[in-house]
Amino acid sequence: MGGIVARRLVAFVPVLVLTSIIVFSLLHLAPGDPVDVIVGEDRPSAEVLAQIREDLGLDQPLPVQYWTWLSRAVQGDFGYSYRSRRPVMQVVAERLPLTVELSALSILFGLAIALPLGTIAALNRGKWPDAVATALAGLGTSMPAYWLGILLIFTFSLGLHLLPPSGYVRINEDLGQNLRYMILPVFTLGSAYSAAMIRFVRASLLEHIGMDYIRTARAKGLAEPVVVRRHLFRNALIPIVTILGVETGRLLGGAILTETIFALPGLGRLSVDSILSRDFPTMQAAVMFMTVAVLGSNLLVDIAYNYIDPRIRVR
Amino acid sequence: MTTEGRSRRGRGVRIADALRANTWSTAAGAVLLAILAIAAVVPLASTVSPETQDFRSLLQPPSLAHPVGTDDLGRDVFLRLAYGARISLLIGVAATAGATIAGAILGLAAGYLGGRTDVVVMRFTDVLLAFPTLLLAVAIVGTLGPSLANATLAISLVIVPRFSRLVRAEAMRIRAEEFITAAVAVGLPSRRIILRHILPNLTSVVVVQFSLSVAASMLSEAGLSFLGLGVPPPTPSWGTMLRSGYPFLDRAPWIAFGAGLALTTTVVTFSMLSDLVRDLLDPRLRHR
Repeated sequence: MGGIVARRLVAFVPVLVLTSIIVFSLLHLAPGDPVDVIVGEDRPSAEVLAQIREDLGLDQPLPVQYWTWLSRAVQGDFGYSYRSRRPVMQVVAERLPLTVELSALSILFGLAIALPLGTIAALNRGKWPDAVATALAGLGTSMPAYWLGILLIFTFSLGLHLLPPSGYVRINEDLGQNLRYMILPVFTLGSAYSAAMIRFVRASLLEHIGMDYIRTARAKGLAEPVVVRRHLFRNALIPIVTILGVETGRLLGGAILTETIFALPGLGRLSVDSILSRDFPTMQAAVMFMTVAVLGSNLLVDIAYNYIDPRIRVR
Repeated sequence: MTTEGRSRRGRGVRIADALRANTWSTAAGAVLLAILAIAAVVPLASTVSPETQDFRSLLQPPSLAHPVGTDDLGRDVFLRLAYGARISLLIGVAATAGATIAGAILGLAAGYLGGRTDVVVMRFTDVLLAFPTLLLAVAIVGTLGPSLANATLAISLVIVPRFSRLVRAEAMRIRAEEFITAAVAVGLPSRRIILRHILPNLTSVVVVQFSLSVAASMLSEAGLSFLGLGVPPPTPSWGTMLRSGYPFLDRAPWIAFGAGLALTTTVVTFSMLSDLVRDLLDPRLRHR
């Protein structure tokens, strides 16, 4: 058991290192001098520019800069933001809770829709409930977050005046208000997530429905709900765990768009803003956090899988 | 009748059967053709440019003169939608084509040659997959600067793994077949085996993945444009129209709605057709 975890971790590290090199190099592939971003409009003398460059270590060879950055980053020090002049970690720490809350609620919302719909579709294969669920899933994957979000704002904020179109209240300030502001964003992000999930749940259940053990369970006279709950679900829902990991990347991509539409100050928006404004220390930290989230959730899923599925454990 | 002729007739019958069995796909095909026709004809037939501003008719609701109204600069929304279709389809197809070629080369090298090449290619793929795709595209365009070419390049790069993984798996499967062993045994060079024996057997899975990916690429383009990182204004694209129409949602919803509907309709019809393509071509489904 420990061996598997160790093996996964060993495969995880090189990918993480390569990713960090890419994130770091983006700074140097970009045209223009990062120092220009710091000094902004006023043009100081060449000596001052050289001094800034030296202070930030930008005059060092690239591998040295990378090593300095990495060794500080692993200790949680990503330097200072070029724009707000505050420690990057402080900025990230402010933004992180929103994105975590948005993603977690969207996953819950997506599963709450997808598990029943996918099951109904699979159990009624070829009949109208299947057609409806499949059509919903198709529509959900074709409706990008920015378009669904606009429709929701138009209907529920501008039309019915039920929910706020944008903005955010911190979860520790007022939970009720916080949730009120999160309804539309969660619906937006969760819909796309549930659309993908409906397909996986349906496909996985259908694959298992034809298997011998289900036929045996039915043949020995078990009631259909018992067959579904005790036999089918326990086996067919295992692959869904994998999908939770695989879909993290797409979920975070959707979070970027959702945070943009609803003007939510989250990590996704921070990463785009810092890329657009060439605030490199912030960009490196934000992109790195999102990448680690993707890699980490895949790693966790791999490990969790070993616990859930005894057939894999034997290997 | 020659074998060639018979298999061609067989394919014709299969397509006809599939179309008859898939009324929905046929309808989707008709809608997509209509969109293509609008994208092709409307810009040719129009005398004004989609960038022509008219400050006497700002934010006009839909009318006979302007079927989808005008935007905040008095430009005709319908005309801009038609031009936007060209951009969407162009980037969707071009980005996917680029990814197909790159992915096929990488996948073939990894799957057929194996060993160290395989390790290097798969690590590269793993790293690309580690980024949320949209974020990686944003980072690439943010670094290189927003333009049509850079958006295409970014979208192409982030979907390379879809193709390289698929082609690698298929190449490994085919390499284990006896006809490849035979080809190796008679001393054919690797290049010839790859081009003449493996590549033709990959075509159908690659075509299926291609058709699935075009719709995804169009969504990525619109997403980048919505974030302000796609085709720079004033060139019309559906994503930029959604972005610029968003602040006018309360006064002139037709700008964002026109673009949103055009995008969703195109993507839905495209996905329905790619399902049809999959049913027709995927060898794993054919015998069911």
